[in-house]
Amino acid sequence: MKNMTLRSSVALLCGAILSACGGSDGSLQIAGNITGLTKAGLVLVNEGNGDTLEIAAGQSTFVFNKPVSVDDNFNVTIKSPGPVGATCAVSGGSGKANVYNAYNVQVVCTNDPRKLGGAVVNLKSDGLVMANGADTVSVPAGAASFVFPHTIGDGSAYGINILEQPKTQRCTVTGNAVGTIGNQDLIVGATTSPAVTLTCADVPAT
Amino acid sequence: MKFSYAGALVALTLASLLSACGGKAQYTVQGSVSGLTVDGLQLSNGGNTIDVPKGASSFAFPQQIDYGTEYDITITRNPDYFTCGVSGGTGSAGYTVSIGAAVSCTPNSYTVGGTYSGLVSVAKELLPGATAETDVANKVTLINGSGSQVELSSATATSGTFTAASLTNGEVYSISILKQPNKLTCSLTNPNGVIRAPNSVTNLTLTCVPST
Repeated sequence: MKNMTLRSSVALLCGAILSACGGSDGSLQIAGNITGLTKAGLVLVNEGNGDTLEIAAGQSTFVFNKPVSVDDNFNVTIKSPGPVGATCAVSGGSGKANVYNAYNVQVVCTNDPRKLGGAVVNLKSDGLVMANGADTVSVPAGAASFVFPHTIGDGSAYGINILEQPKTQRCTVTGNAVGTIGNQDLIVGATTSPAVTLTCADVPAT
Repeated sequence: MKFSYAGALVALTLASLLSACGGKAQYTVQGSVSGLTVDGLQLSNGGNTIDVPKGASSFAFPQQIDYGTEYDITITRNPDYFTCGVSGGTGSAGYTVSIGAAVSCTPNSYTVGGTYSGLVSVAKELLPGATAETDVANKVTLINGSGSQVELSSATATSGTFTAASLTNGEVYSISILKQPNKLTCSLTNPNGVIRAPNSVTNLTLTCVPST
């Protein structure tokens, strides 16, 4: 009896393992995780069988609809052009399908870096410090523009404030001190416009 | 003759094996360090203490311990405004080939916030199935530059306290209003500054009044 029990449980186990591995009826579903996706427009393709999958903004996991069989070749790629303002990359996305690799495709998206800054008018005194949150930049006397040292991701909000006024002047901010950065840099340049303009005026000596 | 060579070889091998097993094998109580950007960390093991300087990626106690001796690495002093933790800090020497604890340090967080007032609902709506109108939540969004974002809602309270950011010692904060509420205009005082641990910042004031 003991032997019978053992045998039948072995048989069951074998059955379970075989079905887990998917036999030949295509029971593996290519799946994985997505990080950093804040934009719409990502479409994944399994080049192995032509299956395509649209991914929504903010989605963090995915499962392809068309199943594949063990040892089928799969190759997950990103359909061009991909999300506007972001760059995505696939890792662990290709091979001969098995239970270890089919569910572990990683897609990492990064919003494209944008520069943030402003134009400066009539700054004749040192000491001016601008801030976008924790990111700060010192603007010396004579400067006609400034750019924050850290880029921000396409689609990020920003808020520009004067952290420290110059020693002998007072500057005021005009323009879009608060906003969301779009598909181009907001700095002084040939093809770009700055987010803000700082206009500085002398303070009468007291 | 051949046999005696072989015998000698076996004896030599045995001897070297024995010495490797080492009646008196010594172990260094040591480990890795991550995130330590300031001075002030002090570790101890039993009665021994060491100071670990900023930037260190590893530590080792000068006193070695014998095979089988228990060790227990603890943090006896955190650096100012940092909190460190030890993993794999206890055991018995020789249980693993070498002792390898991991000390990880992170800076403490301090909040930036204050009080708000005047955030009232300015519209009513009749929800499906409801018999009476309810206030539509009116919301204002604060940002710390391109960093953290917080939304305050009249549905929670028309006035109260808020936290706009959580930062570490020495970091600059610069809070802006990203999105004004409907039909109200909010203004913010003391929006900028620098975190001076151990103090949190609580002096921001967000005042909302009906738009003119």
